[in-house]
Amino acid sequence: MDSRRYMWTRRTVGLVSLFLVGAVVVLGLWVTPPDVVQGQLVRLIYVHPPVAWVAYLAYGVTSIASVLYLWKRSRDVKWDLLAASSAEVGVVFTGLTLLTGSIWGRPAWGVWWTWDARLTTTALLFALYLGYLALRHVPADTHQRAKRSAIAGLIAFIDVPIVHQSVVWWRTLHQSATVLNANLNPKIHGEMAMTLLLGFVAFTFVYFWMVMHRYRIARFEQDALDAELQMLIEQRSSESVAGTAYEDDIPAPVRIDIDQTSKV
Amino acid sequence: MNGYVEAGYLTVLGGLGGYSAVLVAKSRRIKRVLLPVEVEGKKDGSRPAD
Repeated sequence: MDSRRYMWTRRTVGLVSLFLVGAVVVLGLWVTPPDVVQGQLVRLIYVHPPVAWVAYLAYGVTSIASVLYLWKRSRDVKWDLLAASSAEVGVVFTGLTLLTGSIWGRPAWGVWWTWDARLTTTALLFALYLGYLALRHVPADTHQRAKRSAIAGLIAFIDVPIVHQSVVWWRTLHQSATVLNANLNPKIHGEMAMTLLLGFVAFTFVYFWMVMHRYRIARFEQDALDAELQMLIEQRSSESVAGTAYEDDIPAPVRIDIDQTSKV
Repeated sequence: MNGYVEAGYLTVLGGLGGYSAVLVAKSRRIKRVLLPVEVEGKKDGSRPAD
């Protein structure tokens, strides 16, 4: 888990993330031109859609890891830990999606919030995965917790395509997809398109770095739990061999007099 | 720019930076707690001294 190779991979991903995010900030705030309709406000496009994309990615990884846990042939606690780690990072990115969306909505639509299909389904997505994380704190053994979480994660993922398609299925304030629209005809070009693409790449690297860290923490916590359990089992075993355990719990032997039983 | 753009970028950078700091701090704390403790008198592969 903490091999040198893993450590160097994590550090490299972290450094690349920092560099790419820095590049997106510089390009987004100062280099790219303003939009003919939205003016300077369009600069939020270089952060808002990328964080939303990463949320989708995170929940996709959670779902795949959940399936791998539920499938008996590949069942391993590492898939459960990966699913949970990715979900937690996904919740962070979904929260940022809602916040940046709200900040963009205020000057664009005149409101911080509206019950538009895209906003509502995204808020639902946030609540579903917060629920997933809360479910993991319900007392249960490792396997029970993993199984419940896997099922919950898969159910919650149903909302992801609904969020993406909400701008197509319903009449919404939120604009339709800029790149992955029905006609596959991107509505963005030149340096704006390149910066948007860079944003997607940069935040994806940030996601991988965060999941690597979060998964490492989860593995340490699980190992500690397993070690504690093992220690308790060994302690209990040695106590019962030495005869010191359960002295107060063992009921006194019942004495049966032969005279009493002969009456039956 | 009208303040909203800056607020958006600060939100993203602040949010990700804050969560990253939490992860790094947790990671260091848990590693410190779980570092193996060296047993006195024990050499690699040998039994600990009585």
